[in-house]
Amino acid sequence: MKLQQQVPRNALVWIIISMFALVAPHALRLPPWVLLVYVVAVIWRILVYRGRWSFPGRSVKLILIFSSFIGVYVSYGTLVGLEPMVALLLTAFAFKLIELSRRNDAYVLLFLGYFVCITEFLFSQDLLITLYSMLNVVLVTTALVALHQPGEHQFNRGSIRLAGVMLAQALPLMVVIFFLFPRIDPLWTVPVNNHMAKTGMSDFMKPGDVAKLSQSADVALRVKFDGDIPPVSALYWRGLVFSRMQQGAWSALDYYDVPVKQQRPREMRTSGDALEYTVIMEPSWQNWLYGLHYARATTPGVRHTADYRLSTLSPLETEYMYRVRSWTQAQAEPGLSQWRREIETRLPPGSNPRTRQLAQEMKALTETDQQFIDAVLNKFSTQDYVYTLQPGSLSELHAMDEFLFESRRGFCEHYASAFTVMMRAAGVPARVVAGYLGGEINPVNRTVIVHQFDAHAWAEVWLQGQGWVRVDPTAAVSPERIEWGLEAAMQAEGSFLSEAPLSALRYRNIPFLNLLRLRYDALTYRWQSWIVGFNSERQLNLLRDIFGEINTRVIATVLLGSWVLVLVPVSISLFRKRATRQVSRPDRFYLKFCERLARLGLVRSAGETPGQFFLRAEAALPAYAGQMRDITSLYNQLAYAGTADGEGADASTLDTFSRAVKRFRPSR
Amino acid sequence: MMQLQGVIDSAVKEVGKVLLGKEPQIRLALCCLVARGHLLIEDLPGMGKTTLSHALAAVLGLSWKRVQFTSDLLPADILGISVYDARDASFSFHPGPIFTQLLLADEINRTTPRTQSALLEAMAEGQVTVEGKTRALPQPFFVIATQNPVHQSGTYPLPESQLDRFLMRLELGYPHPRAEREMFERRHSAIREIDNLQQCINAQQLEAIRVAVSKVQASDSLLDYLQRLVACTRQSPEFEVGLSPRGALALLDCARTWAAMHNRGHVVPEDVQMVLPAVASHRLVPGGEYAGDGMALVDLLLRNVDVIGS
Amino acid sequence: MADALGVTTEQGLNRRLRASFRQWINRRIPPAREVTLDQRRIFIFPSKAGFFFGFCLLVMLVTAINFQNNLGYALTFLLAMLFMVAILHTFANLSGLTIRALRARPAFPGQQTEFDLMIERGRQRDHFGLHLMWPGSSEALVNLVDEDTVTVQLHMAVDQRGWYSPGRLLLESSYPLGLLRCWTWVDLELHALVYPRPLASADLPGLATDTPDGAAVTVTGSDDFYGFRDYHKGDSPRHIHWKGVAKGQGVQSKQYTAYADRSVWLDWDMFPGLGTEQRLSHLCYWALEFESRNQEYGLRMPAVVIEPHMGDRHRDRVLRELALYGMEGQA
Repeated sequence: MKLQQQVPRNALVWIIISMFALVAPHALRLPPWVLLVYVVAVIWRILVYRGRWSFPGRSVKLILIFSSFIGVYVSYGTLVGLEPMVALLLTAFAFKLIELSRRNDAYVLLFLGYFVCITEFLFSQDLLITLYSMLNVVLVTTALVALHQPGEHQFNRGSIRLAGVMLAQALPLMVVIFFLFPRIDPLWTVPVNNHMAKTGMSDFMKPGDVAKLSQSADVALRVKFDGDIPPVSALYWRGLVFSRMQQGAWSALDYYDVPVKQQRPREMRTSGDALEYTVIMEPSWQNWLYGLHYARATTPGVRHTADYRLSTLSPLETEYMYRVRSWTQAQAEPGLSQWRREIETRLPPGSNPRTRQLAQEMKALTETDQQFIDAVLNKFSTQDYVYTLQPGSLSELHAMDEFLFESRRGFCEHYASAFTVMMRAAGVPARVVAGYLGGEINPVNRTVIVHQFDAHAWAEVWLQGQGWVRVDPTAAVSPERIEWGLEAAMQAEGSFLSEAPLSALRYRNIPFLNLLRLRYDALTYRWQSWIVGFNSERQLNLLRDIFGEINTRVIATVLLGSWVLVLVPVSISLFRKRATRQVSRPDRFYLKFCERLARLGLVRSAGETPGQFFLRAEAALPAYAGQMRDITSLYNQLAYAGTADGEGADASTLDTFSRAVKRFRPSR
Repeated sequence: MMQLQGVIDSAVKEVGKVLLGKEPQIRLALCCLVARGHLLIEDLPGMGKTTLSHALAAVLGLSWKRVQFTSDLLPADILGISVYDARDASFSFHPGPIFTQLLLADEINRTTPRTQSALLEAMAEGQVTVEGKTRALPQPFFVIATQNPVHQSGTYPLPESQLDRFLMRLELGYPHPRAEREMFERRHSAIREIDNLQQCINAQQLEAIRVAVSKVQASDSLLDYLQRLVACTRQSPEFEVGLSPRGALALLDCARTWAAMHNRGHVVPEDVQMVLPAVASHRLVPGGEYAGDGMALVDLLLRNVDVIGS
Repeated sequence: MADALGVTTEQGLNRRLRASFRQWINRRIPPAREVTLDQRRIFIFPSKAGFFFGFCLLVMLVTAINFQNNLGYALTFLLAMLFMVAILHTFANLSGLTIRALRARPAFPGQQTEFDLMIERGRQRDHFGLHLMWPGSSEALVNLVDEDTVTVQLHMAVDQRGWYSPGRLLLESSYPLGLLRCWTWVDLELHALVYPRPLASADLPGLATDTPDGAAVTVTGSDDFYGFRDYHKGDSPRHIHWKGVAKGQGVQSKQYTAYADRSVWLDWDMFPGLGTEQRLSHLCYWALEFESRNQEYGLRMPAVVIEPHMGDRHRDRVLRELALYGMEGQA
């Protein structure tokens, strides 16, 4: 094998380190056998290195590749989609290590490594993941550097230094290009994460679903208001509107269930100042967004539906940022269409007979719809209904009957559902709305952090002259929930986050840890709003703010300017290293003296000692004999009479010498 | 210190009485002996090689012997031999001429390599081993070897590796016309000057000079220059064989001795340049394409190697 | 016919291109025993791995675009800029190095000659993975980390008598990342001497000896007494030192040796009727033979006379004359 193609041992160690570092964040998403492949690959390669095993033959390689395809297919049920493809990529990555024998193999492996880094970002663009990926990039680059350091037979930690330095030099240039590079629309549709567990609300809700969700301390979204933050109890983040009840479960209307004419939201009369805010959603793998009452998004690409919700075309696989304006006082749909009225009062035939009967009786006792609503809420608050995270299960068909008349234990969705069923039974248009209520205000950067446990369900009722009005039956049962949040509401029960013992939120009462958590959250917000949420619109605004008018010349100037600013200092640091031969200070002055004489045509030849040169110079320039004699004898004293260990040269002698040289200005 | 220089000067002057107009060579030869090195004098016959060594022995007050090397000379002829003594029926050792303080090995290249190497071994070790028994040589022990130029036929030039054992090699050359004239004029006087030479340096003075040498400083700048010289011999294509570490050390030792002999407490580049031809010319071998000899190489070093670092 | 014509013009073009390249590079990096690498003398271009890296970046960019993934963009740009930075670092790995021709060892045809080079760094930075080779020579891969200089030996098989010029030396490196290849072609004016191929001849015909001696040389045996040594089986009884035995010193043999000042002349005219190369080969063989016998020999060739002598330098001189016979113009 050619010398250059050999893979030094040091490089092999770095390659293995970087491989494991690369696969680590993927580990939880991968089927366990892929990790086993890694371990086997490393052991195999080490045995090859020790000479115990040999590199795999062609047929063995084919079998390995084929079986990995089968393995992925069996694990995921498909080969298309992001996750199976990443699994295949990572398996191939491990196999490549086994057959790594030449430098060219290592290139393939390490460039694949860079690609593995990017696949991690397709799953998460979290700040910590980013930092970790940065470390991975450093490791892969280090392996690349080590690959070109022949003769390193020992593991050399020093290789990482150069890789770090080079990446640090590349970083500022990257930042400039990151903000300048035009954001292009996707070239073609790409496979989605169809295997990822969806989080948050689903578009299908049975009693008990929200209670389950409330066990999670994950962040659902972060909101930054342009002005003051409204009271937390008024923050009803609408996400889903459930208009249809089937088999004891609520579901949203499909896009095609709505007649074409009704698909666009009706124009609304808005009055007063709007709340303006920015929302960053964590990936939910769903396509609906959250907003306060009557939200209009200003971010392009967000759809508005007839029931005043926001949604995107495709599910959110990564963090998503959008801008919203909300008019909380606006009347929604003051005139109800016949179709809408019919939909919003429909109940599955034959279900919950007792509830229907109760509702009709109560309706008959009241005059207006509003009175009827108050009566129902009054029933919840005065009778012994319990607000609990452990509501117990209910039957499918007559769930509301069971809840209202027997168990009487429920979470928000039970009350919202029961309320809506009663409204509909009495002929009042009503629907269930799911979303989040409230949130935690982060004092560090004044954002509202909405967690999954803030998940909530409430009802909307259509009233003549008022349009859709929000009614929250939970408030009747447990006012603490609305006012203080779930934790306060569940204080007696002690069930808050009982299934998430490690969540940082559980340690909110330790001030130091809490502050740390909030600071990190603020950092995450900034990270997400600047880097993750950076899109063409923000790019345009940013560039306009900084450079005013944007044209090619400005872009080119900025680009070239940044390169000059970075690459010139880098070159200087590279090419202006200390010379191996250093000139001592006496030598420097003496050479200056020689230079002055050389200008008069008196050039010291290489082999001439100072003494010999002086004799020649004295003959040529007798007028300066005295000065030259002093300089020569001082130099001889400094250079040769000093102690053997060097810098013992007398400082004052050096001073005299340098002054003598400076004074020496000969002319013919 | 002052006294030392006087001592050296008087010794040089004394030798100069018999070897006219050769002061630099006499000084170098003295330097070589003070630095405890062996001396090789290379020149045509009749140039005063023997005179120089004889005179040096006289002014240093050393016992000396002379061996004329011929092609039939055996190692035993120099080192000595055990002879059977019939009276007490035992062998007694008869020391050879090498058991002296200053040995003049005349025309060393006339003898066989075997005899040469016996001598060179003794020079290097300061002792001789005859018939399994090791005997120390007297101290101090110097060898002044003379050699005819190698181009003469019927000679066995010393191998290059062995030349390294001589600290210095000197060439005497033809005398200056003025000196030669004086020589002619003195020829008529009846006195043999060489027998009347005064001892100028005694053992204690020699020791004192050596102590002075050990105190001579060599600064960083000077060592740099020395290293540049050595590096040049090892890197330039004109050199087939560069200066060995032993050669480099010899150069430094001689330069220090030279500095001490001139009453200086530190070495200056001039010292190095003065001793360089004598110390280095026989250790350097020109490269395949270079036409010159050792002296030309030394010249090249003196011309091309910068005294001051840059 | 037309085809053949096409081929020849193509070859002619090729030759002309090569010649003009040679001219250009000779102007740019003139032949010298010592070359210090600076901007003018270093070439740099993406390596194959570099192109592959570029392709990978493209794939990554498409991925970032398609997934609208800002960190994907960031990583792609970071690596692209790493490539930019690597240009400087790769360049710096060769910059400031001084390559110095030390010597070329003479060799016989069919043997390998050895070229000694020295690489010296001008600045205190680490240089890694410096790869050196001549076309057709062995290769070397060296680092300059702790030392300021490193010597490199390159071997190359030689065939033709005379001066052998290896051409331009390739010095390349792709440290630190392998994405770029940095190289230079230097002509170090280093020539190796190739001796004639030694060719045995049965005997030395018409052996010419030094005239004063007049007698033929007996190469084995002599009558010059040399010394004693312990008796070995097979020593002639005539050589036993009987006096010593009488004294009870044990049995010793007298040693005789052939350190004679007889000298042989190797003469061009000893091999009448043979071609130049064959004569040189025979002369070369005998020169080596006499050298190994410790016998003096001289060389007499048209326009060349070397007095009889022996020793390494003498042998080298003789072989050199033989090697360069009729070739002075080329050296």
